[in-house]
Amino acid sequence: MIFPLPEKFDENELFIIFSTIITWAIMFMLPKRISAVTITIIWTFNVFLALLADITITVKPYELYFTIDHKAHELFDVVLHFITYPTLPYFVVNSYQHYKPKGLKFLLFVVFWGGAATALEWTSVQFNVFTYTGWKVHLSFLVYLIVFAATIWLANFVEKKYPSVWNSKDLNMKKGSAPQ
Amino acid sequence: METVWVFLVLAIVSFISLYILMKKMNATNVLGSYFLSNILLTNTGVIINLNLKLTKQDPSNELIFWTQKIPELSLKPALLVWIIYILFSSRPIFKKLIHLFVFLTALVSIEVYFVSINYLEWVNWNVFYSYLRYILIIILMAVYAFYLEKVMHRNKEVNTI
Repeated sequence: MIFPLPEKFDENELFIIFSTIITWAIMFMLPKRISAVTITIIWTFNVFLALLADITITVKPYELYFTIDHKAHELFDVVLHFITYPTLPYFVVNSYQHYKPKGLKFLLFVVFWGGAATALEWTSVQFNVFTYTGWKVHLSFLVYLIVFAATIWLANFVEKKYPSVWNSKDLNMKKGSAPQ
Repeated sequence: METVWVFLVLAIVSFISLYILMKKMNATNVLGSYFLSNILLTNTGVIINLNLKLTKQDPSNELIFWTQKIPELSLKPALLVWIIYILFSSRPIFKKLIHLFVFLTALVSIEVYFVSINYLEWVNWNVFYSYLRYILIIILMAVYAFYLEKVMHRNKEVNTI
């Protein structure tokens, strides 16, 4: 099979389904503060990172953890990589555009989101979405700090060229023109 | 070990070429296409190797693992992004097709090379399937690049109103 189906439809699949529904609902409820171009780029970037990590360290010779039921790349892995996980960096960037923290506040902002992501990952471990076979949850925290900082940098890079309505108003204010 | 060094040098060349491409093409599009090419290469690679078991490699050998991983993150995506650049350029269709064939052959040659040095084994796989795999990746990347261009254009229009 191209993407193997779950061996048993149990708590890990349910966790993925429920967390996908909840995060997507929140995503549509919250005001959007980044442009469609930025969303596309950070979404692609984070799918790339998730796949890179999962396909590099979950397979032999490392096998530091595995996801869901199989050691293969199964259907719910695709859902997890493409639909569920990228909502988290979306929230990070969206809230960053709202608060625009600088200096120490920025550091605290990234640490807060790194902590939140680690807590979510720990919860998913309890539901057997991830099974650690050498990986440690504190390593995930360090990875999230780097990933979120990189995602914010990338989002800023794209937003400068293709600002959202939210940011273009901000830019107009800075330039001195009256907001429309 | 020599092969790793060759691919490391090629990786540096690939990233330099992508930097040059950022000046010629839209930087946002280059970044997006690079990420997507990696996603598609990894996904199709995993489907072929891990799920369908059409190819085989020694799973415990780190050298083999990294020798294949390095071009998958650098040389192959760079070639794919250059193909997208050429496809969206104003060159005549005949020139585009020649370029497409040359770049596709380069991509397939990387795999053929791995097979020839016994880093990879083709179980139920061949050159023709490899061409098909990369053509599928190029089609998906072209759709993505087209969509991204459209969204970028719309964004500029909205912000100038």
